[in-house]
Amino acid sequence: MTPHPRDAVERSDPVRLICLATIVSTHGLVRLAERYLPEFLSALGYGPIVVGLLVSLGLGTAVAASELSSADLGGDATPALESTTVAVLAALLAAVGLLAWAGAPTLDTLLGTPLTALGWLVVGIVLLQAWHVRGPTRRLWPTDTRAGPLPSSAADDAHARSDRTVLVPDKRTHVVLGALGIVAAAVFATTAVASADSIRGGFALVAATGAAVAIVGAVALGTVGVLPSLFGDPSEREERTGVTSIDVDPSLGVVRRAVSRLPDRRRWAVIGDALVRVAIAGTVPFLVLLVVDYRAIGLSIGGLSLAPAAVFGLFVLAEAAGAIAGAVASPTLASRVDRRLLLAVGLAGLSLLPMALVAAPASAAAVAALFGLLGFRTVIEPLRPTVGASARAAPVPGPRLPDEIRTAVRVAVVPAPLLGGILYAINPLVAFTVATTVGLLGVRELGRAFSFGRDA
Amino acid sequence: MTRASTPRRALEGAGDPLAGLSSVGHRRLARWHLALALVMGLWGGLDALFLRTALVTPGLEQWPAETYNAFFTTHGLTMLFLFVLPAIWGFAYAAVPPLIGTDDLAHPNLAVWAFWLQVPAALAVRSGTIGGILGVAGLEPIASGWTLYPPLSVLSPNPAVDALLVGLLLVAVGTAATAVTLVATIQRRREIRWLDVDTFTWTVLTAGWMALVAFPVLAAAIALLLADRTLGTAFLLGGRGPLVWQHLFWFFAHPLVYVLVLPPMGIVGHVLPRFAGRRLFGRRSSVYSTLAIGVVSFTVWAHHMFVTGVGPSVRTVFMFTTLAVAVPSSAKLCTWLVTLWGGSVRYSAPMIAVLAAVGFFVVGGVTGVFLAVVPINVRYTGTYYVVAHFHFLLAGFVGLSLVAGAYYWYPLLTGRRLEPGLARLHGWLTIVGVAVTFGALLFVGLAQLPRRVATYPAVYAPLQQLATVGAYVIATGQLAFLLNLGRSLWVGDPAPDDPWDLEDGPSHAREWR
Ligand SMILES: [Cu+2]
Repeated sequence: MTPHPRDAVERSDPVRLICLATIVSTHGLVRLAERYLPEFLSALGYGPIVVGLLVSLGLGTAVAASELSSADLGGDATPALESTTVAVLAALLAAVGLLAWAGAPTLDTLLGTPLTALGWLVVGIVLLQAWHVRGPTRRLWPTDTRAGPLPSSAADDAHARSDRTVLVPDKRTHVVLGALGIVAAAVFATTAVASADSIRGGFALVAATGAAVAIVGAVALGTVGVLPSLFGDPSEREERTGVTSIDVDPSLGVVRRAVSRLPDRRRWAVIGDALVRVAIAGTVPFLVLLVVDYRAIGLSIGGLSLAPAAVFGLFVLAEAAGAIAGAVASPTLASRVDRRLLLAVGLAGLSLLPMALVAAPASAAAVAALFGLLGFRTVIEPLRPTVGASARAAPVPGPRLPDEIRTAVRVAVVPAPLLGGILYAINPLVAFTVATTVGLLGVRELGRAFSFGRDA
Repeated sequence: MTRASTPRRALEGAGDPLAGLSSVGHRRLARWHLALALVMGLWGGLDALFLRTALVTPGLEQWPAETYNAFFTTHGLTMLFLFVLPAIWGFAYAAVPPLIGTDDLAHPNLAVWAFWLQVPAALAVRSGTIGGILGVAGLEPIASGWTLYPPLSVLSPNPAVDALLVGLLLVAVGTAATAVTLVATIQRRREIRWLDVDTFTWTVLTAGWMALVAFPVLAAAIALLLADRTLGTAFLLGGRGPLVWQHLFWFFAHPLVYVLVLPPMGIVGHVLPRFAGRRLFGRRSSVYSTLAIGVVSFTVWAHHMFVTGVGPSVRTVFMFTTLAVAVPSSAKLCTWLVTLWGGSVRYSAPMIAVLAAVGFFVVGGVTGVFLAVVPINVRYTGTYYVVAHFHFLLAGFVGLSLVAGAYYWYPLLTGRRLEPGLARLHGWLTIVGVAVTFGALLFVGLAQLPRRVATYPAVYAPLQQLATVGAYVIATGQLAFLLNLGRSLWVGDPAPDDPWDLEDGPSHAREWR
């Protein structure tokens, strides 16, 4: 029997596809705008400490907002409808936030407000956290440079019990989709920054386009009525069941008690991994400053020459490509190579990248390769102890990580960009060296966890 | 009755493309006009997208000022003459014959030639762009604004200006011929009484007569301009020459605006009651207001020239005639609103577009009434206020009415259905985009920022960026429309006999019987 043509048509549902495409593009453009923001700030005359402060502020707002919003998720509104409304609002707030960024230099004169350019950038950052915390793409890669919800373990548990793997195919889809959005946005950003004479023009173009796509996404979401199933109900349900135990304000005492309840080697592993996260979170915002201003890596192919600011878009593209490669290679590598070795080598390599970026030859190809490796970190993401995977196959086995600790890791990441900024203001070399050192310290902690396991 | 249903009949003869070149049915003519309108509309829209992109930054980052000037010039010319005009004739060819109970056009061969004149006309009008891109010697995009004011237009050495003028002559001839065909068809081939003629057909008839008066004036003005450029005459140069051009041009161009606005008014009056479950309230007054607009709009042209030194008494006269046009327009608005009042509205894609069109009509109309008042006009003419005003009418009202017509009559023209979800998405994106873009430009205009300048004070960057964001949203919406069209041509699921479920309603229209 052939299906009725109308049915086939309904199943392909072009509006849902458009919805998905615009949301993923919004994700990419928001991330690209964030990656370029430090360069925009420096064009406006602000130094790296301000950059770090703003990024930390964003992370802090996100942590606070996600704790608060997950605490009052218990309402009895229809889940599908509620999540659509929330997603539409999140997209619209993201659009407003991006516009606030693009217009920051002159919004005061226009509206007669006393906020200064910096104030409007702060407004933009805060508004964008709505997108990161409750937006439909909050599970898309990269989740680890954000303080948004870290990938959680409940869904893993379900999968792990069924097929003994920590690598949930759903998450790979999230990595690939997120990276694809970033690839598209990176191509656009490179073109935009290259076609404009200054970073201010290029940044405004990227942010304005992001706002436009976000509005399109909001309209598309509103037209579809329910979220495309790709942005997963499973995580939604998991969030609902998982949040009830979260303390809205995980005070230090609560965290300390939770940490002390962990077995030693689990604790070392979590602390070690958290240190690597801190190192990377303190590095990422300054990559653009490093590559564009400090190292000034341009590119000329044939008659076409690209300014360093435009080339940075290509580096982000390389990072996203690396992320896709990592997500694809992850299951194979994890099944063939010893997982502890993979994790340790992976985290060590990741920690070395900041130093490598400072020391690498000033060729675009070399730096792009390093960015690709940075993206390749997705290969170990499912194995990382702070993700809290409790599968028996995890490198450091154990029960599901308590929510207090997961929150504590997210809180610990918040000040990293500010510290990074202070160090970068002293000397970029110092900042990136310290990042590598912190990361390697983390790897050492992890090593303790492993050697403990071997002895036992 | 065993007659095939209307959408089924739509594709009769469609399989034989060559036979159609000389003598064709009205539906094929409609499809040709609409296809041309679609292509040129996208092209003109692309111009707008480029110029909006250039305005993201207050300085000149991407393109030189001349390129910016070319973008808004070709945008205006393309949208007015090559998008809205053929689109209106397309819908007229699609719907008018069945609405007046005939299958025949009065002068089918004239209609075909009138259409085919538009293709070289379009190429000639866009020759500056084409030549500029291909690097054809000497051809450059025209950057004088669509109003082609002398002395700039006379003295420009760019051969593309001559090509444009020839193209506009072809447009004038073709439009007049199309108008003759439609007017004659309505007056001679009508199988129903005048009293039963519907409001859309009345607007087409009025617009046709207006075109027959206005376009020869355009042709004459262009002939003078061409003579000045090629024969060395000086009709439009020297002392009062430039003013002569302005009088001729605006005597043509203001009625042109109503040629472009009346049939969309007819579409709104036609579609709105069908999805409100009622008959159009005040049908007779709506016909009278159509005729009134047709006459009065020939007496208002000098409101475009308040700052060119015309005397104060002349200004006052034209101010009052301009305000007078607002009366029949408001009457139309009343008939629409009263029809909606208490109706049971079905929010299908055509209806969403119609309702938004009515909303934008109000905004564009109110801003227009202010603009008619001389002291306000003197202050805001040449600013973004004017841009916002006429785009609320042309993009908001006319554009969305055309969208409504496209969705409503698509099954009639092709026998196929469009995907309703994509249609709604297209509608909403266009509505949101228009509101954002021209809302932002209205604020820019209230600050009296001059239009048609490639740079602006940095203060206005946020609003300009907002307008650009809106433009991108509109553009994405049109992609959804293209996707829907492509999908319909590819998948091609047939439309039901009564695609809008009007059979049992009080306003079942003749075209679907
Ligand atoms: Cu006028």
